[in-house]
Amino acid sequence: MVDKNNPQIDNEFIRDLLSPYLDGEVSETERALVEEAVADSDELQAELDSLRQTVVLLNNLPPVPAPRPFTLTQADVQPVAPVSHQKRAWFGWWLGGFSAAAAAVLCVVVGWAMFNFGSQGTFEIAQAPAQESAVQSQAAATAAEPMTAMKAPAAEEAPVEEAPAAEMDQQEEVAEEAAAAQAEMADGMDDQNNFSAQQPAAPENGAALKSEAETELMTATPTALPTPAEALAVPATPTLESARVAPPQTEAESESAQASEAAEPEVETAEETLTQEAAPPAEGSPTIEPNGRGGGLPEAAEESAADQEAEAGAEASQEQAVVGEAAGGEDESIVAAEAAPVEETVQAEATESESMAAGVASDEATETESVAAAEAAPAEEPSQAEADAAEDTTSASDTTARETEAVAGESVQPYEAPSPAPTLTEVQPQPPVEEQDLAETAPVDESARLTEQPAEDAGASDEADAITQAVPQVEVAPTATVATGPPPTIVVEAPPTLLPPAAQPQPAPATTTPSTEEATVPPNVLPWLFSTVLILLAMLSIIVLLIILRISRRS
Amino acid sequence: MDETTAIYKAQQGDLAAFNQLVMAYQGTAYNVAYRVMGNSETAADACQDAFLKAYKSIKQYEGGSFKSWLFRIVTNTCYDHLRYKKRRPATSLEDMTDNPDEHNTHLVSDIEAPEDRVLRGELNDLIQLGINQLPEDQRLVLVLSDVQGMAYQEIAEIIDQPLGTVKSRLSRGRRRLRDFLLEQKELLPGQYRLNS
Repeated sequence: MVDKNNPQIDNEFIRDLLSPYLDGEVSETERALVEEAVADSDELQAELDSLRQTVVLLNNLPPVPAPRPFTLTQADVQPVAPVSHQKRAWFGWWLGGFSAAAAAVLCVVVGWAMFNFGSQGTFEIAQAPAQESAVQSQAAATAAEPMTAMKAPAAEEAPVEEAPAAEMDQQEEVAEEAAAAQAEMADGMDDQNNFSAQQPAAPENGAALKSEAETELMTATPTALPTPAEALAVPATPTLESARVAPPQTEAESESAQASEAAEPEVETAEETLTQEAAPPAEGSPTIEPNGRGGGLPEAAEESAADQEAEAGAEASQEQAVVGEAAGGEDESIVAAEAAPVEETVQAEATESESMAAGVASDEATETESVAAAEAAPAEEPSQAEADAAEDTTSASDTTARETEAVAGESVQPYEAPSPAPTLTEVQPQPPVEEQDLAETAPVDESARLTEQPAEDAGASDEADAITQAVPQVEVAPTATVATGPPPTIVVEAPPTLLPPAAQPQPAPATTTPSTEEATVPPNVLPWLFSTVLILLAMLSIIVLLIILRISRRS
Repeated sequence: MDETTAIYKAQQGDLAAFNQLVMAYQGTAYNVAYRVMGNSETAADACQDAFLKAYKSIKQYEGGSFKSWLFRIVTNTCYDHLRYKKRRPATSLEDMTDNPDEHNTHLVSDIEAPEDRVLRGELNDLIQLGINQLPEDQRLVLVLSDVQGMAYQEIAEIIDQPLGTVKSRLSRGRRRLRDFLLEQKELLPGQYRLNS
């Protein structure tokens, strides 16, 4: 029995049973409960009656005849409709696939364009700072001394031409420093006060020379062969240029520098300090490389090579310092060569390079300043003869220095006071007569020196002949020398005037930088505009394809 | 040909045998569809689709009540059409020009007087309007039970729900329809007015 006291059995529960009660789908217990509840409640009774009337109304609804027979035919059963749907689906797939392919192609084209033009833009962006830095370095070199100003243009024009240009600068610096040292020594012999006054200039020149010598020694290692990337990166690094060009020259020049410094008793300490001071430039040289065009890998290779070179340069400088000390014990630089018979070859070269440096100093000072410097050339022969004969070079250097000062005294002054010197335009209009002068004054070829070694007793006329014979090689050499690279004997102290007219330093820097800026700006803008237009076209085409697809589906 | 043989032949691909089954159930199927969907044309389309689906899937019939199996397809097809109609509500020109009186002419017997026919037509329209206002689940159970006279168990098989669900849905559906008819009491003929 259903408990009437059960709170769950209320009128709502009875109402839910009214519908099954009408259909007879309740149990006996539920039936009794409903009947009892309906009997006790008029509301439930009325509700039961209304439900019964509703069911009667529904049961009396007339059946609706079918408007048509739903029998199937073979046409209905045949998969005709699915085929049409399938064709439509295939059409949709066609359109979808075509649109996707078009979008992919457009994306590829846009990406290619962006990559292409973008990389071109970055290339030019990277190139512009390199040229700017080259121009800056050129300006700095121009401010320092006139001859170094010739390196940057030559380097910018062609990497192959960098070697002679750098070597020229190197030779000029060496020669000028040697001349300055000799001049100072001569002055010191003449006047102690004057010597003491000029003494500070010698270490400075020695420092510059030392740094160059170290950089030269760094690149003299086989691992430092100039790669194309390096060659491209070089224009911004004058020191590296000179360093890569003349490996064997470095020893001679450094030794000549030592010898010229050893002429002064106090140069030992100066040289040690110079050796220490020379290291930072060698270590700092790789920092210039990023200005070049080289990518990440060549740059890394250059950096590693530069580090190795820097270490080698430091070691070489120390060795040179030792040699310089040995030479410094004597009053004369030639004695240093004699004091170390073990290193006869090197010191013989040192002796020669001394005299040659003196000669080159006078020669190149002559080149840069005036045509009359050619008159200083004869001073070289006595100095070489005296050096080879192990005679007192003081007089020779004195004479050389005096003549150099007399003829080209201006070349010494920039070292004492490196102020704005003759500009490139002043150097450019050198007449071709200088070539003859240089041929006469003989820019020393290393091969010529080596051939001269066995015949130290030969006269100055023989040396002059050898030098004059070496000149044609020098004229042909610049490109071949750099191209062959490793053979050290070929490396030449090529004076700037020996370069072909096309290789002559042109006043290009003034025109190069603006042209680069003009060429850089538009390619950075146009590619992006082009890419933007392509992207817009791609989006428009995709939208059109989607619209076509929707229309086809609706049809 | 009995139903079992027709079903067997239909499963073998005999379209004529299947059409015999169609002829046997098309009236009921259409009435169910019509009462559930409230529109003759839509009901006819749903019914046609339901029979086509039944023919394609008759091989999946594994016995039991064929009527329940067939009306399950019909009701599901009606639900599909109702959902499609909800997504894209549209009124066909035929529906707009549909005259209830004309539609009801063939529902009444020729014996009825014109006045009674009108009254009956109004009652049928009102009842159908009330059915259309019910939820779909309650509507289907109400139609299958009170209009088509199916038993609870059969309805449970068709809608694939427990028997208690059928009871509850039917009870709520009847009560809601009753309430609707009580609200429209003035529109009902005197003999059909519900006692509140």
